[in-house]
Amino acid sequence: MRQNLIHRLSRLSPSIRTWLTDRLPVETIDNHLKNKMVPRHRHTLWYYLGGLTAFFLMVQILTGVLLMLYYKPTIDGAHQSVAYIINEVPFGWLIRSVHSWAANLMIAALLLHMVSVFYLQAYRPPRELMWMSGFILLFLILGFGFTGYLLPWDDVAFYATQIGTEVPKSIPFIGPTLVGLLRGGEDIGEATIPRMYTLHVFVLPIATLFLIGVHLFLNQYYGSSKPIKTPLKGEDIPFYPNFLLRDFRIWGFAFILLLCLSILMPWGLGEEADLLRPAPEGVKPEWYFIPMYQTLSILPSQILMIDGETFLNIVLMIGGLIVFLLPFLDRKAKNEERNKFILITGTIIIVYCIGITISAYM
Amino acid sequence: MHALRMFIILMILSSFSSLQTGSHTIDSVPYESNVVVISAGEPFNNETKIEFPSFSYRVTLLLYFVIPVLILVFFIMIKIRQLDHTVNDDPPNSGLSS
Repeated sequence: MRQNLIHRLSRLSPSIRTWLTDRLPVETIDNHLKNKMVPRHRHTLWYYLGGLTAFFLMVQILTGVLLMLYYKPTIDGAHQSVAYIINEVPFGWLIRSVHSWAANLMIAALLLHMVSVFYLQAYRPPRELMWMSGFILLFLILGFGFTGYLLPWDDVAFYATQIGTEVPKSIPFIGPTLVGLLRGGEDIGEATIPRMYTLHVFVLPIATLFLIGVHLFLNQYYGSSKPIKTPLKGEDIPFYPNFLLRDFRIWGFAFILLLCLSILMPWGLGEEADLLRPAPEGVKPEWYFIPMYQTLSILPSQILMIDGETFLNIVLMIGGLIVFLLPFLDRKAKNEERNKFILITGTIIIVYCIGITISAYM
Repeated sequence: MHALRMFIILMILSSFSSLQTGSHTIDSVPYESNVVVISAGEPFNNETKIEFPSFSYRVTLLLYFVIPVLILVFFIMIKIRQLDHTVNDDPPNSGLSS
């Protein structure tokens, strides 16, 4: 017999069970949990990526809260407090290292999750809102990476953020205001750290948790999407508890990978940022911003009588809007048909991003 | 099964307690001194000196974490197998499949 919530409650003592069932809609919750089924087929592996991203996010929240106990978001205290966390706080080096590595692994898992949803065309009706909420979540998570990168206030973080905040400057109409808001002035300085910190620990988490709630609710409501024209392997399995335990298994392995990286290759800290020092050679933003940064460096200064940066920003905004509205544009997917044009175009963009990222590091 | 659960919990607790009170106390962690750490593999030279515990300490620490997690994963896999058998054993039209 399948172990459901009611079955689990039956293990409790009768008095506690009665107390709980009198106060909580146990049957409703149980029925809701039972609603979600996971299909089994040769692409089932991709279903783990969403849960994996959620796992890394939980690690981020936990380690982030611990780091907040010692971190000082001021120009004088930021670098020193991070050095103090690494050198003096018991297991501080480990917590900070786990936070940094998990951030990268979370973004990698999220990008792979988006790619898998794209290739399985899981964005097709009725899951348009899931795709759109996921797309906004991607930007929020990248925002975490961007705002968190400056917080240690070392050389690399300072110059990479300076380069990173230059890019939106050329967005028509709102660019300079946006950059001014982020930096708290013309250049990165004393006002920038508190702004980035507030975004990183307050604004972005609230927005992210709200959207994750929406995303998970929709996921629970619609269940997992079946890929187009893919034969199923037997009956669907219940998400709770069968697939959830499979998720936990993957989380266990992910946790081991995270610990191996964090302990054997602890995240370092560069020299404290000096506003007066010229930027050293070879500074690059984080790997997930490399495609945009590298594309900018190879573009000519003027394209179609428009400034190169402005041109790239316009292309990115139009491209982003197309991806955001993909469920409505892909009409073939609505009819359970594979859209080769969209799949090939997406593949070219993905290959370009991977290729240009590799070339930047070589 | 209950004894195994207790074993896992004790193992995790003992891992932490040995780090605190055993050969590697926090105060006597064998730090590697004067380690020049280049942030996140960036190409240019940084001079900031920060200290990480020695490699042997870190490997020990890694094992303290990894072994209990692997045991936990092992039991999760047993549970998955048990649950899958119960799903397969359910008669048709039992309400399990949508």
